[in-house]
Amino acid sequence: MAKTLLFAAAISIVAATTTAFGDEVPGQFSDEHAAIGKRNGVSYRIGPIDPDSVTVSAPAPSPLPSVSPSPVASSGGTSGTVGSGTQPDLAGLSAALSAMIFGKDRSIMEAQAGMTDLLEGESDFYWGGFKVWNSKPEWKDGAFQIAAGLPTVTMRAPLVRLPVGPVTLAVDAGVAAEANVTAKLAPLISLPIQFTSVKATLEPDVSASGFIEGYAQWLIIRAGIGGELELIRADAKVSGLVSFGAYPPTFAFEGFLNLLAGKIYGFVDYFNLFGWKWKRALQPVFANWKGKCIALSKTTGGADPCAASTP
Amino acid sequence: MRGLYALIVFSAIFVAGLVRQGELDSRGTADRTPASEAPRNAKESALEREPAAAANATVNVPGDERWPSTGERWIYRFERKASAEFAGKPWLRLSVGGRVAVEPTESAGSTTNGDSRYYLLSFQVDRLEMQGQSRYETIAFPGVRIELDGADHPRELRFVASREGKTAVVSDEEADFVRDLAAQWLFFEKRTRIGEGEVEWSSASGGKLVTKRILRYPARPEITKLDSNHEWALGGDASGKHVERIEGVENFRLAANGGDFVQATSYRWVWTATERLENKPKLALGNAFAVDGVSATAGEGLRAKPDPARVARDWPKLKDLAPHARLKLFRDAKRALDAGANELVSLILKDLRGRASTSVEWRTGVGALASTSNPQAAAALLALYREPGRTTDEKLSILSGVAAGEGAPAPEWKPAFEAALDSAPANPATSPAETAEARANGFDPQNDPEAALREASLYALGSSIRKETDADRRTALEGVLWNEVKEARTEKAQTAVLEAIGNSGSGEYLSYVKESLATGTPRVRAKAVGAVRFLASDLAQPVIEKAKADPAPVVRKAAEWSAKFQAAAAPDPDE
Repeated sequence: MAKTLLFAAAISIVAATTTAFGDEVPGQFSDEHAAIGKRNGVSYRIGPIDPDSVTVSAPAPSPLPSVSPSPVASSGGTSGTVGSGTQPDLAGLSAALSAMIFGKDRSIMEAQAGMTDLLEGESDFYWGGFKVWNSKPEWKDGAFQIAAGLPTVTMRAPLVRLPVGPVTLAVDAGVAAEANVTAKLAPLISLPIQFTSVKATLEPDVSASGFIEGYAQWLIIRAGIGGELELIRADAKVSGLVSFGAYPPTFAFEGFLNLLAGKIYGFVDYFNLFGWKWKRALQPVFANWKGKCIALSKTTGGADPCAASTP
Repeated sequence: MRGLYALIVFSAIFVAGLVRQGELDSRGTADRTPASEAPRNAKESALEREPAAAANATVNVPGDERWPSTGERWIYRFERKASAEFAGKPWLRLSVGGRVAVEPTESAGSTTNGDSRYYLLSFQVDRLEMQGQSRYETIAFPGVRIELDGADHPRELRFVASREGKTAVVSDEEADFVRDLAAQWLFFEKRTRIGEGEVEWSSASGGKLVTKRILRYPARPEITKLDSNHEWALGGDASGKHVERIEGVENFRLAANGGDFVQATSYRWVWTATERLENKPKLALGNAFAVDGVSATAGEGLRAKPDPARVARDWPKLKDLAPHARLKLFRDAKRALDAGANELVSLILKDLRGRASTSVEWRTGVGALASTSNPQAAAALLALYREPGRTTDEKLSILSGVAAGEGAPAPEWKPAFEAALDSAPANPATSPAETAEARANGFDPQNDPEAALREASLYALGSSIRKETDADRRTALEGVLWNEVKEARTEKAQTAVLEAIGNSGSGEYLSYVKESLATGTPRVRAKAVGAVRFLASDLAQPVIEKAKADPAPVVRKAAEWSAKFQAAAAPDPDE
């Protein structure tokens, strides 16, 4: 009962302050490069929960008269279905990050925060491809709130063998990632349920690095491959209105994404006996990527978030 | 690629030019005397070889005959040769000669157990030869203290100071050389400088001549041909018993693009004298090291161990580091822990105190303990979970680490999982009426900490099954999950166990997965196809193919998702 009253209060407050959202922006960002003959890259997707990825049910019959919704200008995002006979049972926002290392795609993070058609907050996380705890959103100040700090992880890519000079090395490669995800879901109740909107924000603060290491020492020569590849530094926030099928979602972004900066190199050393030390014979550079920053919006005053970001 | 190999040929010529130029350096603590063109002791330069004896399959040398007795020092002349060839052309050729002393010593510095014995190896080079040029100069290297356990196996190797009272600072090159020589003396160990080999033993002359042949290095499939023969001979004279000789040859070939790389190495130690000692030397100790010198994780391909001291110095600055620098420090910490740097465990635990579970220090520290194969770290993570006063959010975060981290969990997690699974109902209320009734009875199924811990424990249990290498412990964990499978009746409970099955990567539950795909709700069917994503391809593909034809979009989407994981695990057709 108390929660229903809170929802009613939320309706009146939010209806008075609803603002139009920004221009159409892409919901997916990706980049890739080839190094040593294999593809390496990163893909980052953020936006409304895909209705096809949640279960769909027939709308429940409403005992109350319908409340006519105010039309919201559609400005990009996925198209919804107005007044259809089915509805998704979860409306909210999702983010996903994956990396391709030596041609193999690895899921790093999949996060989803939404509200069910039973008016409960729900979140879902896969971290490194494994299901981790469902953070139960806390109801506070008229919204469900989620703060999920995920323990830093490493994920190994399958071993590859690469020639470095005269030696073929078994190379250990993979990804290390850290993330802190916050989300807020404020319901704007209308009946029937498909006309309910959720004012949602999702901010997955995530960084991931690729690592490539290989080393062999054969008494008098040694060879190695090394490199750091900054896959992504994302300080992105998406905000929008999503519904249970009655309206297309509208959303906008803030922040920046820094993608793909780094260097992969090899080396071959021989042992100089008279100097009693290793001397470099070869140092081929296999890849040298400057990186790309995508500004998702400008901050107040017109500052470019990429200029302020730390690569 | 042609350009790369042209560069190699050029560099071989360049190498030869550098050698003729003759650079000298004086890094590290090795003591050097001026070089000369003539050998100092011509008598010691002549080495003789005994003929090989008939072989049998057993190794039969009493352990106490391999080491000098109290008051004795065994002196040897050694020679080490190596040459490398690429694509049929000579690339590098060198040899060193000198003297080695082996003697008992007392424990000093850190000790482990009461049954330990200690020996000192001291090395001195007096002849260098490279690409046909010779030099005669004396270089004394930091000695090595070997600690043996009661079964005569090396427990620890540690550098000693070159001068009494001075801490040893050993350069990488000195360390490599000393490790190589120590590996020759530690003849009876299977693990060599290159890695652990499959070994064939034989002995003759009543056990006084032992031969070790390395047949292959399982972790080094790139070694296409290996010619290995190592001998250890026991002798004696009026001065007493001693190891008479150790001698070995190790030639191998690596296939490479553009031509094979061939390296030929040999070593020979010949006993020259036994000296009597009045006192055991007192030692100042330096860092410990392993004979193989590389990080103790699976196979080749990793660089030398990161410095735990540097990790410890930088760890308190975690929050101030840029994200990628922090991730690099995290990886260095993981590799140092994997290599046995147990001191980092207490450092990380100390840094976690008082931190919020969403703080960068907590997330990185818990992640490090959960990612490593270090058993002490695994035990510490469980102890952290069980600490009195640990909040639900902190416990959930630790369970997330167990679910997602690469490290094998401590065996004692099983009772912790069972306690969490017993603390809340397996089939929580789902309908509004059931939820209202539960809340009226003082229990909120949506916000119950025990329910959250139960679910998180289920996911961590699944991952623990995947990571557990002991067959009996794995079977026991699978049994715990089977009990949950049998109890799951509601959609919510079924999806939770299917998520746990997905984390496990175990085909043990395939029958349940197939049944769920055939009879479950759309959400259950979607979780069922997701649960096969880490299975072997022949088990997963039929489930995925069936789900691709499911009428519900959510199931078809889940099939695509599961197929992506299968594609990532599939072998590369190019390899």
